[in-house]
Amino acid sequence: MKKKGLQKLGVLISVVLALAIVLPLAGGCTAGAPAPEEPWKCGYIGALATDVGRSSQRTTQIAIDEINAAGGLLGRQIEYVEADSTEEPLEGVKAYEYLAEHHKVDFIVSGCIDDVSLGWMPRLLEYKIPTLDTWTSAIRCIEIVHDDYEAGGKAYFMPHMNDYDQGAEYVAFANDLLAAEMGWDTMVLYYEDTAYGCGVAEWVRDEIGPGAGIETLGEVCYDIGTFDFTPVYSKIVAYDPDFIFHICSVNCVPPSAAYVEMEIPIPIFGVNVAACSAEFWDDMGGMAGGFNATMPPPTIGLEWDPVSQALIDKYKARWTDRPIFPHFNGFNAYQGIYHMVEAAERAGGFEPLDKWVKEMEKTDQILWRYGGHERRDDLSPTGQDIKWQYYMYYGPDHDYTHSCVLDQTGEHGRPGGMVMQWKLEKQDPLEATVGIIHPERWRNTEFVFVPWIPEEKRIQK
Amino acid sequence: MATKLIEIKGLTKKFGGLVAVNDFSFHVEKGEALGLMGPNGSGKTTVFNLVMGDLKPDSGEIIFEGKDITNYPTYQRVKAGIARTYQVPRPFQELPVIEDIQMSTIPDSIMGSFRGRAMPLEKVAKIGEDVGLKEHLSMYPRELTMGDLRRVELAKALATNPKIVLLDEIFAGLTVAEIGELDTLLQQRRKKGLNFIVVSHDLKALAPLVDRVVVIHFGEFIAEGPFDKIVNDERVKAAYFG
Amino acid sequence: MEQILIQGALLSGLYALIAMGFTMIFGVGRVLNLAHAGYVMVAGYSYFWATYMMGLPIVAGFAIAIAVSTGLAVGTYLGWVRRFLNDPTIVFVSTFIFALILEHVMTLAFFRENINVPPIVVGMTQVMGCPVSNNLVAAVIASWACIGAVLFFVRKTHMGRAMRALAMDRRGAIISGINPDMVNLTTWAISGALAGVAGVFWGSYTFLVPSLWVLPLIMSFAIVVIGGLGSIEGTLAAAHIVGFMETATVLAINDKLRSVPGLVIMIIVLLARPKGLFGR
Repeated sequence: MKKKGLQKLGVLISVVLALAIVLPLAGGCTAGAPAPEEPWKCGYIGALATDVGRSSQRTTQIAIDEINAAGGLLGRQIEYVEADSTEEPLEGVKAYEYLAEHHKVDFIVSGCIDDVSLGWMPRLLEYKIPTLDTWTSAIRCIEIVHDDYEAGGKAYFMPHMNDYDQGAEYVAFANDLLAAEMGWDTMVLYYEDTAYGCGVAEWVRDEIGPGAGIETLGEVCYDIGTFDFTPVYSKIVAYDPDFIFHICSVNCVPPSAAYVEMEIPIPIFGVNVAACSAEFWDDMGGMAGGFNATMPPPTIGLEWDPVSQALIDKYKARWTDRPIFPHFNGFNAYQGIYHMVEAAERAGGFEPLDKWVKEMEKTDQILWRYGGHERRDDLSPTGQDIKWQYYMYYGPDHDYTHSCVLDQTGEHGRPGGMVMQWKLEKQDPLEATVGIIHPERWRNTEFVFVPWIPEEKRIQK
Repeated sequence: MATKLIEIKGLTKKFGGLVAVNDFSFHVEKGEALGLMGPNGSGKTTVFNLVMGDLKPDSGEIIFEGKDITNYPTYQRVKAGIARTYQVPRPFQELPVIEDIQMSTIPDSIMGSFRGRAMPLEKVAKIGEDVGLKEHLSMYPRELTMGDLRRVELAKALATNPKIVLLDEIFAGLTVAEIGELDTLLQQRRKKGLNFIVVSHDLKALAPLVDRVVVIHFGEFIAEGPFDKIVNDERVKAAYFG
Repeated sequence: MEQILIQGALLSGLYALIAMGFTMIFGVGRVLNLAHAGYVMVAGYSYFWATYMMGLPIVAGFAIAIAVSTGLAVGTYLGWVRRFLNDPTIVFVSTFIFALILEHVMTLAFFRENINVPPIVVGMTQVMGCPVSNNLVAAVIASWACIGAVLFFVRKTHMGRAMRALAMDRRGAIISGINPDMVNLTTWAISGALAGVAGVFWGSYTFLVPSLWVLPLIMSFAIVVIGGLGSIEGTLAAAHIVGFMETATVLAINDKLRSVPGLVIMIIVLLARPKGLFGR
C-alpha cells in the first residue's frame, strides 16, 4: 500500500515536471518562412503574459515579416525566436542565455521591465549581442552602456528617452501646468519600490523641487505587492499637499483603483504605465475616468503619422486579444528593428560589432505627421507637414549613451514625454476617450478634475 | 439457506506474511446468538473487522440475508443491519452521550439533514435508558466509567436498528454486578429477535448468552457446537491451554 | 491605533472567511486542500467576468462565482482527492499543483495584468476618524453571515453533526452508519461555496491577478495551524490574531513585512503547542 502510494507520487511528480518543461516551450515556437540560405536569427525576450511584453513581441514579428517580405536582410531571411523572461530577473537571465546559447541569435529585441533588463545586462556584456531594449528607461542600463562601452555595453540601444530625459519632461510639465497654470507649490512624492520608481523619484525629488519651485512635503514608497492601499493613502492625505506625484510602472491598477474607491481628495499626476494601456478602462472595472499619466510617446490619445498608423492597422488585423493596442514600446521596437537592420545592411551584417554600432549610431529618423517617411506639405491641411516622431541615439561621448535623444524644443519632432488623460465618461471609439493635455503643442484636450476633488483643492493660488 | 442470517464463506486475510484468518467459514441462523471463541491473537477481532468492512478480505464471501455484501462499504453494512461494538470504546469525546447515540440515527442523504429525519431525542433517550444510561445521558465520555462507556457502545450499536450486533469483549473490565446487568439486557434483546455474535474471554458470562460456539485458533476454524460440548472438546482445550 | 483596530477587525473577518473552507476540509477529511485559495482566485475572476464583461447583475455574478468555485471543489474531490484520502501527502502536493494549474489557466484567459473589481458597495465612511471603505465593511458583514451560517449548519443540522462526527472519529462515525463519502462531498461543496463568496470579496478588496491565491493560501495556512487544524473556533480566533498583527505591522512598521507576523506566530505555535490553540 505504502509502496503503491510512493509509485503514484512518483508518477505525479514526473507528470508535473514534464508539464513544467513542456508548457513554457509550447509558446516558444518559431515563425518566419524557411530560407534556402541560413537565416538571421532575431530573439525576442519579454514577459509574454503581460501587455508590456506582448506589445513589442508582436510589433517585432510585424517588422520582421515586413523585412522578410521585402527580401530580407542582405538577401537572407530573418527567423524569429522568443523566450519568456516573465517579470523575474532570474528568469530573464535564463531567457537571455537561452537565446544566446541555444538559438545563437544575431540580435535581440527586449520588452523586459527594468529589473529584468538590469538582471541580464551582465550577460549582454559577456555575449556582446546587439540588443534593442524597448520598454525600460532605467538610467542604470544607460550608465552601464556608457561606463562599459568598450567591454560590450555598446551593443545595447534604447529607442526612447531614459529616466532622466523623461524626468526633464516631468519638470517641464510641473512648471507649465502644475506650477504656472494651477499655481500649486507643494506635493507628496508617491512611488513604487522598483529600480524604475526609485530612479525617477530621485530625479523628481532633485529636479522638480528646485526646477519648478515645488516643495516636497513627504515621500511615500510602497511595495508593488501591496493590495490594501488604505494606510498608504492615509499617510499621503495627512501631508495635505496640493497634488500627489505618483511614479508607477508595475501593478499600477491597484493604487489607481484605491485612489478612486477611497475618493482621495487630492489631484494625482505622474507616471502610470497601466493608464497608458487601452485596456485600462476595463482593467479598472470602468473606474478609470479622469486618470492622467505622463509617458514617453507614442501613447494612446495621440494622433498618428501614416507609418505608425499602418503598423496599428496591421497589429489590429492580426491580434484581437489584449493588448488590443500596443504600448509605446511596441512602436519603438518596430522602428528600432528597422534601425538595427538598416545599420546591418550598411555594415554588412552584425559583425564585427564595432562596425554595426558605428552605423547604428548614425540613425537619424524623422516621421512626418502627414507624409510618414517623406515630408509631404501637400497632404497637410495647413500646407506644411509637421515633424512628428523622432529617433536618434546619443553617442559614446554623451552621458546617456544609446538612449534616444530628447527633443524638448520640438525642433526635431516628438517631446520626451506626454501627459494623457482619460475622459470622465468612456466613449467609443477608444481614440475619443483619451486626450493629450501636455505639452502645449500636442494638446488636444483640456485637463479636468475628477468629481470628488473639493473646490478648495481646485482653486488656483 | 433461508434460515441463515449471515454466512461467512472461506474468509482469508493476510497481513504481509502473516495469515491472520485462513479460509474461515461460519454462519448465524436467524434468531441465533453465536459465541466466537479463541485465545488471544487467534483472529477474532480480525473476523469482526472483516465482517464490518473495516478490513477488506483477500478472498472469501460475506452473505447477509442472501445478499453478497463483501464489497459493501462499512456504513452500508450498518444501514443493512449489522452493528458492532469495539473492545476499546470509542465515543465522540466532544458530544454528550445522548447526542453520541443519536449520531447513529442520522439519515443517509443530504436532504435528510434539513428535514430532521434522525431519531427524535425522546426515542434516543429510551435506547439509552434501556441499556442503563438514564442518569448519564447528558454527561460527556470523560465523566463515565468503563462500564458506562460499554453501555454507550451498545446503545450506539442498537440505535442503528440492527438485525445483528457484533459484540467485541463487551464484558472486559466490568464488575461482576455490571456483567450481570448487561447479560440480562442482552437476553431481553435476544427474546425480541436480535441476533448476536459475541467475542469474550469470560466464558461464564458467555455461557447463558449463546446458543452455539465457533472456535478459532491461529485464524483457522477448530470446532463448533453447543457451549457445554465445546468447552470439553480436546482440540479446544489444546488451543487454550497449549 | 483606531485604524489598527478598525482595519484589523475588517481584514480578520475576510481572512476568517477564506480560512474557514480550508479548515473544514481538513477537519472532516484530514487532508489539506491547497487548491482552496485557487478557487478563491477563480471565483474573483468569474465574478468580474459575469458582472463587468457580461454586464450581468451583481446577484448573478455572485451566483456564477459560487457555482464555479463549488464546481471546482466538487470536481477536485470526486475526480481526484477521493482516491487519496488515506494519503495526505499526495493530496497536499497535488492540490498545490492544481492551484498552479488554475493560475496558468487564468493567465491564459485573463493575462497577467492586474484587474480591478468595481466595489460592490461604493464610497468611504469615516469611523472614529479613520477612512473605511464601505465595500470592505460589506465584505466583512457578508463574511460573518457566511461564518454564522456555517456554524449553524455544523451545529444544528444532521449533516453538520455528521461532519463533526467524522472530524472527531472517522471510524466511529462510519460505524454509526454515516457515509463518509457523502459527508466529505458536502464539506467540499460548502468549502467551495465559501471560497466563491470569499473570492468575490477578496477580489474586490484587493485586485485580480492569477497569482492572487498565494497570499490567501499562506494566511489560511498560518491561521489554521495557529487555530488548530480543523477547528472552526480556532480558525475564527486565529484569523483575528493574524489579521490584527498584520494590520499593526503594516501601519506601525512597514507594509513589506505584512505576512511576517502570521508566519512567526505559526512557528511559535508549532513549537509551543503543535496542536494549535484550539486543537484536539
